[in-house]
Amino acid sequence: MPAEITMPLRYRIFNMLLLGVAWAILVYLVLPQFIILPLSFSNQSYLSFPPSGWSTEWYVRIAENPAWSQAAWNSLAIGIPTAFLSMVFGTLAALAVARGGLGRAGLTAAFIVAPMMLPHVILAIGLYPMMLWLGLLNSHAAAIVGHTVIGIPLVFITVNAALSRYNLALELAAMTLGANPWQTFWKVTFPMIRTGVVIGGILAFATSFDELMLALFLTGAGTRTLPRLIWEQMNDYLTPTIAAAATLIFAFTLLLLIIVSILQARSGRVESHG
Amino acid sequence: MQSHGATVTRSPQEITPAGEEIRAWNASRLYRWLLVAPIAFIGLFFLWPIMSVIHRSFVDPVPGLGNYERVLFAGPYLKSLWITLQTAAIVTVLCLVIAYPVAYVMARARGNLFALMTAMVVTSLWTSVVIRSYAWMVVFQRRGVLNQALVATGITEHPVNFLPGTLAVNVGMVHIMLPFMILPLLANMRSIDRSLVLAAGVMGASPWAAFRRVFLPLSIPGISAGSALVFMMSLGFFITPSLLGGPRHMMAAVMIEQQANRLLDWGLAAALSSVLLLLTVSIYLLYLRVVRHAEGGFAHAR
Repeated sequence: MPAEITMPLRYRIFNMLLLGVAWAILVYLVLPQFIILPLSFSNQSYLSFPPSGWSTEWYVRIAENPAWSQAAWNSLAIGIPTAFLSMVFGTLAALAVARGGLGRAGLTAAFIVAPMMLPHVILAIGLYPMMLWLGLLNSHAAAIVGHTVIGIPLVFITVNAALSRYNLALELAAMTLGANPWQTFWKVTFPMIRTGVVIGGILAFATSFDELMLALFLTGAGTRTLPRLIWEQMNDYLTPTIAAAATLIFAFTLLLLIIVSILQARSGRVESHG
Repeated sequence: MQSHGATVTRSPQEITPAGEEIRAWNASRLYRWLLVAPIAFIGLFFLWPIMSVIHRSFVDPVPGLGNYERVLFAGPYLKSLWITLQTAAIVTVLCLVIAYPVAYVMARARGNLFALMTAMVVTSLWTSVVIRSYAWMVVFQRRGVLNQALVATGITEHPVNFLPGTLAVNVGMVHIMLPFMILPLLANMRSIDRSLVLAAGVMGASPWAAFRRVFLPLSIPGISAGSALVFMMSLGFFITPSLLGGPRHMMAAVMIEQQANRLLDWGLAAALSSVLLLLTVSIYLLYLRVVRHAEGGFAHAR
């Protein structure tokens, strides 16, 4: 930038300060992960930081305790159906709002996104008596329903973004050329929004995987998820076992994040070609 | 080629344009039907439960306004709502002040540097909230990192009890909310045409004046979107205040969970929830008004 060359010294100093502050804040953002990782390899039973010695004892304890594997299984058994249902409902809603020519598209979109914005505790105490009445309380299904409600907006937003990036005329062309609506969707529309659908689904899964409030109200001792188990352990005693579990969960989420970035990069490339 | 085809079909009998219209209309009607399933699901498992909570606040245990009377006049409930609003406001302002310079620097960054900075923000966003709150417990506890540093440097003689406490709640919540402020700001700032700022400089404005008179007003949509998001999410926040806040810094969501799950006072929990809902919806409507008001000017400036 030519303007920067002529900038007075005090502005250049200010700029460097600004850069320093920004980096400091970014480091603050990722700091907790760097506290938990060494802590999980500590050889002491209380949380001293930095640890005085190293061991893998806490990981062994997780492997030996069936509660952790049970909770991990519950989290998957709730998260995967949640992602699937969110993808179906979120995509349907996004197609209808983007292509339906609704008179009140803005209001409809606000209604679909609302579960993401409102405090989850309200949804939790509303769903609890309902699930009790349906006889679903403490089942996977109860948590799946609750998590799908907050997962739909995520898919809705990502699919909406994907839909707004391509031309409506392509669908009309397919229909004019004799494709029925079903063929049009699977052969024209879906391939173009596929990445948006999958990214939304992964976001919904990640949200379910990390959700605590609905899990506290809707799951029971046999169906509790990982966040709930960590929560219960945290209120009782603080040992590095939680740090070890947190590190494993963090590694897993990081893997999901990498998948999402690869998908995003690939969809960007396809677009620039098309 | 395209225009030739259009003239051939269109000129003689006007059939095709009308036909196309019918097709387009049919397609959009078909699309409208897709809305039935998601609306039914959200209506049944979101709208209905929330309506039943509001209903319950007026009838459980006896019909009337008893629950709201208790919220207003008895016990720590009103204070808890006040603490919730206060905390949400403090967290929003702190997030804005901290996120603005970060987003500003990120919006100028290019290539690998930008990718690295974005990765740091997104990684933080993706780390479990429970885990991040746990990390702050490790930092703030009596034998924690912060106390060790304070005693070692001689700032305090004895470890300070940060937990449970307001400072720990605010630091933890700002940390968790920060990505939700940075990302809207960043999206907005990257869309701001920097040549406008350069133009101001060329015409004699100092960098500070160019920032204040040109860049800052253009970044208002990002500021309002990020602030609304952080404020609304902070209002319903549970994990961090519950772990780090304790009984003296009890935010509404913690209070509601306690009333319903442990004390089984569902009527009071429903009334508190309804008030919290009202607060959140008001903030959302206020934000929509601000956006609608600012949109004309913003679109013009772009």
